[in-house]
Amino acid sequence: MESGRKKSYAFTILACAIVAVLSIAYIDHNERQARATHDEKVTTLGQIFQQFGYGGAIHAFKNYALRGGEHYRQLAEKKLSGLTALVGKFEASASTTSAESKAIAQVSTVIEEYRRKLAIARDAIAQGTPPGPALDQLVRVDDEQALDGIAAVITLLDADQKTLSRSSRNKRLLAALVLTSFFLINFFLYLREIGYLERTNASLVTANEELLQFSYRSSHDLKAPLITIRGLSTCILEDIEFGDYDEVKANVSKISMLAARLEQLVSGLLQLARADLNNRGNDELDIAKIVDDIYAANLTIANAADVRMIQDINLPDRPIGSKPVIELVLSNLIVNAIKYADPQREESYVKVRASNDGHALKIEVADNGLGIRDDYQSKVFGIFEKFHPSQSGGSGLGLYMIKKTVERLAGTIHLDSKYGEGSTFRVSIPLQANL
Amino acid sequence: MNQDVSILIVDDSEDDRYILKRQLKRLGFSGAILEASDGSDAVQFLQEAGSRQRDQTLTFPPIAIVLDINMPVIGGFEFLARFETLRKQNPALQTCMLIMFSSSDREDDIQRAFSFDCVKEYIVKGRYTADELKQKLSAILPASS
Repeated sequence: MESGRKKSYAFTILACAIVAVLSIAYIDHNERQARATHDEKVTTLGQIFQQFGYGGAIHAFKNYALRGGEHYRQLAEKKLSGLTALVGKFEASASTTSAESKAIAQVSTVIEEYRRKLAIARDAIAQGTPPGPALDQLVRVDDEQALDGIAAVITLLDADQKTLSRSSRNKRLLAALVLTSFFLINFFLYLREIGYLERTNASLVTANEELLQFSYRSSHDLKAPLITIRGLSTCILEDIEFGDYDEVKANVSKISMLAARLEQLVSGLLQLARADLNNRGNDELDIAKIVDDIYAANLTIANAADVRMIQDINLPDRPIGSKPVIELVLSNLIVNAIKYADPQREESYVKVRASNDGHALKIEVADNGLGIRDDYQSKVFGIFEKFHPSQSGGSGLGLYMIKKTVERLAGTIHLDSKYGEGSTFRVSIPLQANL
Repeated sequence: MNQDVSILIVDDSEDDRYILKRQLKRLGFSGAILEASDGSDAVQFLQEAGSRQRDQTLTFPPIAIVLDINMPVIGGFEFLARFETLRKQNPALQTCMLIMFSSSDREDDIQRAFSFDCVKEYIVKGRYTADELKQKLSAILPASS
């Protein structure tokens, strides 16, 4: 894989790991904070309970009511103030819920009640009421409400702790799930990328092999006739020396034919390199006229082989496409049909059909010529393949070129042939609107 | 040289066969020169003539087959593979030597050709003098020429 892409995947995986570590650290930090607040509230509640009970505010209050003594009253006062401060602290905590506030408010009510009764006791003692059970009875406070409030807060804090643990676990799970999904998606993309690169690589290898084969065969086919021309020239020089002018004439004619074949091959190679064959084109295609023009251009060989042209063009509208492509396809197929006509046949023909099925332009070129042997049919679209040495003359590029061009336009070409009976080539090129 | 020997030229180019035939005759080869336009024709000839060899002992098997590489239908290398099978079926072909005659001067073509035991010479078309050709074909040419 290309190193830039490797780096990109390595970076993504590293980023994924960093996000994972940061997320978990963030969740841990939040959890620690929540636990600290919770613990603080539990401590405050413990202090409230302590300040209330034995040795606390109630204890000092009872001592004052039963025994009198200003220091008991001051102690009770102090403890009650401390309680009010602790309750305030509890209520002020950021994590205190409304249920907790409601429960702790019961404690506040009882503290206020004690404060009020402490003032009554002080006034009663000042007016001469002696401290003792009677005074204690007079200023009795029902502290059940405060105990209920504290019990309710304990229950709520306990539930809060459970919720805290559950929520922390859920957050961790969610983080793990999101990060695992992210990692898996990234891994899947990585695998897909590798698959894509492998496919691209395979097609490049094929293209490269094709190119090597092409350069091998094209250099051979260009060189071979030149070597032959050189050989024949030597023969001509010898024959002139010996005065055999009939042989000279025959060899000059051979050289002329070889030169013509070379010219044809060079034209074929140039046509193969033509840029406009790569375009879908935007031409209005008059198939009947294109076929007429091709037949007219090859009238000499058609007449020599006595091949008749039959057209069956069934196109209500002129399709839009590339004229150079259609000309290339039709001229190669029509000329092949003429070149490989069966000389034994009384009436040779080449029949061109064209139709439009709404999706693709269908072209069919059929002949009743020599046909192609079954074992050669799979090779006909190969580069530089020739199957009729005696008929010869071709560059071996035509069908290869057609197939490549048609496939570039997402079309197909098929051969149906029977040796000794004839061949039919079927071409289908998607219409512009369907591309 | 015995005039009853034969050689077989397998080449799709009629002109190249013509040029080689002329050169062979100039170098003094007086035997029969048989021709095939591709490997498929040559295989067919060897099979058919092989089955009639009792009647044609004078010209079969050819003492040499001069073989092109790039030919339609069955090329030179495919012919060599088939020829090896034919030699196993018909021991008479053991005496027949193969002389490659191609426009290709690529090293891998030359090595591939010599990987077949029956191949004795490799001649690059148009890249030889009369003397070199004579030397390479010495096994089939008369000693005096």
